[in-house]
Amino acid sequence: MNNIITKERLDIVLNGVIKENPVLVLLLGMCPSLAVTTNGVNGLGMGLSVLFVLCCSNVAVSLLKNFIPEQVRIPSYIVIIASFVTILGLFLKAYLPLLDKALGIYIPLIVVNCIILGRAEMFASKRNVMDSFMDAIGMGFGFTLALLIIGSIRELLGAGTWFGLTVTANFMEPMAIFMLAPGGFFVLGCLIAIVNGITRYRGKQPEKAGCEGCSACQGQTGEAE
Amino acid sequence: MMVKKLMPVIVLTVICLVATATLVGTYGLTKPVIEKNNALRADRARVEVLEISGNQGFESYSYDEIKKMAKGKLTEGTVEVYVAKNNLGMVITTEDRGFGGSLLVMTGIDKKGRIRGVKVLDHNETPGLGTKAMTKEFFSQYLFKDKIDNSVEASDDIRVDGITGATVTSEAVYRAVVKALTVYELIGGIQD
Amino acid sequence: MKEMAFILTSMVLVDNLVLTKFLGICPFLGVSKKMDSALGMSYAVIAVMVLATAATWPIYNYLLAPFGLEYLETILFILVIAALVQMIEMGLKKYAPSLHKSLGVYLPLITTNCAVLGIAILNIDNGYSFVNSLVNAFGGGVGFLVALVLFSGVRRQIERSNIPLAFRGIPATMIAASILAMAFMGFTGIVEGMFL
Repeated sequence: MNNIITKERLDIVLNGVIKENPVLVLLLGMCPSLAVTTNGVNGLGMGLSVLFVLCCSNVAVSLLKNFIPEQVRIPSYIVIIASFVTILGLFLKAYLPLLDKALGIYIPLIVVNCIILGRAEMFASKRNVMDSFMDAIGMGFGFTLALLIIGSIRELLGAGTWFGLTVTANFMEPMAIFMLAPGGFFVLGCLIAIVNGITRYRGKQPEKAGCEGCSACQGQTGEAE
Repeated sequence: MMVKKLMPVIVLTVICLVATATLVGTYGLTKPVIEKNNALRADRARVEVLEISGNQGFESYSYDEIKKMAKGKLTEGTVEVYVAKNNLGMVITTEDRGFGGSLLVMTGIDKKGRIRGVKVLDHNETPGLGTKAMTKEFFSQYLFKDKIDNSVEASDDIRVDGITGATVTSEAVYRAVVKALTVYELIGGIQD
Repeated sequence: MKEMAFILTSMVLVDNLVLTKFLGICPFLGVSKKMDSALGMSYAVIAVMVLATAATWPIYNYLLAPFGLEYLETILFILVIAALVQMIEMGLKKYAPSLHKSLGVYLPLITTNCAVLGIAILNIDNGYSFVNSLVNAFGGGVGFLVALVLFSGVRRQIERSNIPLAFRGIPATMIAASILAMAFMGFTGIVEGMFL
């Protein structure tokens, strides 16, 4: 039993949360990171939703990797991911209707979140189930952490509250612009700059990742690697 | 050879079938909960805008029924009409266009035709700006008025004000409430 | 007619997919470096959006809604879009090789462009008629084009300026996008004034 959680697997998790944080380092899944992070609750909700779908799809893809023929790989992954997203959507509607309303159209759009298809393609289709699960946990928590940070900053500056609790609203006029579209771009831009700065300070060249990575979803980076 | 060629198609079909079956199952599981939640939420909202209705609930009227009651002259934008079972008032849901799209407003009106509560149900307004025109404090100026007017010349007892930074939204809410009052008039108020 | 003009203008200026709804951020950051690639991507997106709407609207309204199968929306839509993109690519390759050469590289990226799936779902959520849905999709695509083309000019300037090291690349781009989004906020309310 002990060798289920090995050091290697913990590394996979940590790698996803910090070193290869999907939003702040790999720059994947930008759309939801900008769109739903108007407050901490929504950021956390979206993050955990993606975590759920990522875990399920990574495990499913890893289990089925030997049965899925090469030619229909991408469509199969899309079907698998879309089903988990729909299941998530139905459960959110049933048990957390307020969150469902706040996230709205961005719930079905998890299907096209680059992180999920990218991990299925780059990791789960090559590794065993347990590793894939750990990778999903790492990446999912990394995503959740990033969204929670962005959401908290925007809520704090934009509304003066944090998770709905009044923090600075009493002595500082909230700047509503942080809750709007420009604030989203601005906060995420600054956060990425901070991460870049830290990587530079520690003497490492920041990774030349980026939205080109999205092509991973199409299986192109898969070959490029 | 044939089998090998067909294999991808078979696998994809099987995956699709399994996926659909799972979804049908999940839907069957969650549907009653979703419906119950929706009904509960709508009920709670109705009680909120018309507290005098107590706990006896409401009777809903279909669109055709309302139209018949209003003798065919129903205002555009009327969504729902509910009459309290204790006959003390009705709740009218109306729609209007706000800043970010359509805006659903629920208005509770008592037997004397006075507004007893206003609530915005569904909206796409800007958080922090448009939402300022959706607070209980903002709506308190509507309470107990049987006629409203948002022009500057209006006398104090019927006048309602807009809110800075949310002009479009407060006007949309105002128009929706006016619609609700018109519908109430058209239906002919509460019949005993 | 008035409604169509209303939808079109508001999709291009006010509800711009990229700058207010955050849909299609990946291609927005990825291919806006050069004007011609921005244009190529945008044309491909406009075409796929309109065709995808033309396919998904009837599917939802005649196949799913009458049987209470609305919850299959996501899975069916994404499959339809993926298949559509594949078919367009094959069709172009066969019948319009020159067009395929210029747009071909962008096509595979479009399946996972959330703006396409987004617009298909938004059309259903808003309850638009078939024609209005097509107008909405076209407007959304044009809005995408406007954002990308405007931004490619901005990016050319950014590349030439001396920016603090940490901000080089994506961070500077994001902050420029923030300013552009702020500029687009100026359009809010303009459409109501024009048409209502």
